[in-house]
Amino acid sequence: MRSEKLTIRQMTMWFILYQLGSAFLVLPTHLASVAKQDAWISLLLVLTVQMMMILVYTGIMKHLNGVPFEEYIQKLLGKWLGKLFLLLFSLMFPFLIMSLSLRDLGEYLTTVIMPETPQEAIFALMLGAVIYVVFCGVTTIGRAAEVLFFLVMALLALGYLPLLPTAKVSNLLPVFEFGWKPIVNASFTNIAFPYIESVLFLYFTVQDRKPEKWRNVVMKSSLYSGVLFLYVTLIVITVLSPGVVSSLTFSSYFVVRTISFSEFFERFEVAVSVVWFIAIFFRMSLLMYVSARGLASVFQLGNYRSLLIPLGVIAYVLAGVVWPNTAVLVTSYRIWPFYAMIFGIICPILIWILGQVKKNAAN
Amino acid sequence: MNVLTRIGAVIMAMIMLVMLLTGCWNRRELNAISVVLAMGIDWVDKQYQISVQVSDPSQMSINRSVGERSPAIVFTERAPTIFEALRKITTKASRRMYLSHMRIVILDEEVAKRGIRNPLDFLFRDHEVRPDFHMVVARGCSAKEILSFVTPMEVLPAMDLYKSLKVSERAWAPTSAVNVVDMMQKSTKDGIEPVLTGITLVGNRKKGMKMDNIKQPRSLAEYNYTGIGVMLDDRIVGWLNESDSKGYSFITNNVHSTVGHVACPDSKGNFVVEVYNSKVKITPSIRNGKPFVSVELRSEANIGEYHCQADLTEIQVFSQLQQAAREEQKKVLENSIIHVQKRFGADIFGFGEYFHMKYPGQWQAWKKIWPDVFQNELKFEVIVKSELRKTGKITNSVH
Amino acid sequence: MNMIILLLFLSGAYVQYRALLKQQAVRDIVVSSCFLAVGASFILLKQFDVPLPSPMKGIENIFKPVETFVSRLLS
Repeated sequence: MRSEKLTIRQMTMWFILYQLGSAFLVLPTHLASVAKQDAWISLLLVLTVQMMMILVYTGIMKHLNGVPFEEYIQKLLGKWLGKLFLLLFSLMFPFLIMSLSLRDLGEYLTTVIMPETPQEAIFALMLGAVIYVVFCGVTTIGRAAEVLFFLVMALLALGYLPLLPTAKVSNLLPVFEFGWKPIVNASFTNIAFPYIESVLFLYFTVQDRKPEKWRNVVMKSSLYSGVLFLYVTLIVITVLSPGVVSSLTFSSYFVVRTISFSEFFERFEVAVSVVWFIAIFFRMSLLMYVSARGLASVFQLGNYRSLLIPLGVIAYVLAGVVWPNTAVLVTSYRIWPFYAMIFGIICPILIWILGQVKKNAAN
Repeated sequence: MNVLTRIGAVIMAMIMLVMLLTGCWNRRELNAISVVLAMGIDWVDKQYQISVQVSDPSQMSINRSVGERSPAIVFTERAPTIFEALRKITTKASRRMYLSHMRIVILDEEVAKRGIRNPLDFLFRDHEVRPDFHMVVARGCSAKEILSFVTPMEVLPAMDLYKSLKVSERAWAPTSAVNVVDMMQKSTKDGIEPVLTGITLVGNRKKGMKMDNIKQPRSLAEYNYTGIGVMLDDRIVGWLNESDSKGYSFITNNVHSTVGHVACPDSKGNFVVEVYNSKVKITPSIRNGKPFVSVELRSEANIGEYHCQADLTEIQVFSQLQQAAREEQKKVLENSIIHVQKRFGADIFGFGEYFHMKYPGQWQAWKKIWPDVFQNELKFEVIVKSELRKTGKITNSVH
Repeated sequence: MNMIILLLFLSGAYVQYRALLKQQAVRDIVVSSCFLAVGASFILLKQFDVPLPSPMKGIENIFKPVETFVSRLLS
């Protein structure tokens, strides 16, 4: 049987790549259109909220005590209610997000790089890769994350460090021009996408089962990716002014297009977009793993691997269906945070309270 | 047996991967695309006339026969919109136009007067176009004529235009190379208006489009980057002369190095000041509810030519010359701001943005009517703190 | 196009089912083939241009009042 162990390093790197996923490209545009030049302040707000939610997740982790998350849910809520909850949760949260991420990748490639390719081809190839890697097990994904992490960081540095000379800090002024309301409004989207999805990290346990170690992993990865987001948002807003950023569809890609040094260090933006490919790959593999495990536990299958291909087929169709045009996409980005918060904030708090109540009742 | 099947499976996987990685769906073979180097947009007969200059790859090699075929080819087409015109060009050209390496876009004066937002919408929206080309406006001629022009220095005319623009921007202040990213930023901000450089053709144009242009040392016609065009919103409202353009470049911190003459304080000749370092600090303030801007110029310069009589090694003469240079710079800047203010009312210097950054509350009231406020109510003062440093290889003129 | 993808996935499922049969994992095969049938029917529907409902539309309809409320609160 294939082993399912992840070292702490691998877990951290996987989580960082997961959080860099879809949000990295789309977020500066949305933040700048709502909060204008204060977009970076909403990121700080988001990181604070994330740290608070991590405390809740750690509380749940402490209740778990080494039991896999899906078994714990069934123990907590009773067999049938737990199965129902797990079924709905797995289908409506990780699985849907996986289809959305897949569709994001397809949108990006067909808008910017290869407009004549049908999106189904991209979906099929990516799903093939994701299904295979999840089939091979978590250890394989962890090792792949370890190797590809450095490539991703190198490409990010290559793409975003040369922008520093052209950054104009005057594009960030005046600070707090419209007050704190737009900042909070903008932070909603960022909280939901990708930080609230940290609730899915509960499916992963650390080797010696200590909740503190798990908490450190999640905190480190959130801080790291948060700092990366902050940097990218700052750079995007200072190089292109907030007015320009809010009208671009893929602003972090566009900003790499503007690099031009001595007429030879230029025009390599497609190399930087490999970052996004890799990040979406790890995002999808985590989401696929989580939904497969949840569903396998609902139907009491011995092994989650048998569900991978059917889930892949359904995701292939779902990704083609989720939104028909760009206008629907923009609207659904505004509405998504409230849907995600149900699964990311309300559900964990309820689970934690229930677990606390049960523990007190047991004592 | 197992090892053999494994090797067979690995080889099969590798073959499949190679087949999948060729990216066949969106393939563009190199001999099916033409790399567009420059694009010209004209307005003719109520339609856009697009001219593209592409390079002929066979003429770019070293063993080519000079004078047989032109290294650059120009295609033109007319259509109500630019995207249509570009696709229509395929009815005349054997390849599809590839816009990623475009260096310069030339707009007609008609197009600039009607508004550049519509032509530029395509250039911003298309996925092939990169935001690193420059834009100029053709004065007194059409963009098509400029693209069809034969240039003496470079093989490809578009590269000649592009390089000349870049070199001129660094060496001569009245030229300002307008990058697309700057144009986008200035269009979205309320407090600053974009500008465009102008280009014109002097000499015998008809002969300039033939190879005869470069067959003798003196070209029969040549191009010339002239002043800076002031835009209000997205339309050209007027042109600045050389002195005002220089003032504009100084105030917007675009001067890398420039040269200007100053009258001698004591005699009739001129001396030339070469500025190599220039920084302008703009401080906005509000006096009596009206906007007030203080422009402080600090520059360092050398003496490039000296036709005066006084002795350059004396400290007093030097400070007299420095004072004369400062007066001259102050006059240039003041005239520039006054002319733009009174004639056009377009804030190309970006004073509005400084008010936006420092007085956001007041800016909300001024935002919509800033051109008016700029034209009628803005007062300014110019403080020049330049220094003259060196005199070159010789101190006094040799006589 | 879709049919080729479906065939590829089905052949992958066939290989997997053979291995599962050897392990006598009947439950896995039943559940997995249920899901696969759902997915395959989706693809067939897509092939015949039947408009499939999008879950985002459902989410949008349910959460639109929340979103308008919050954005009015924060604008």
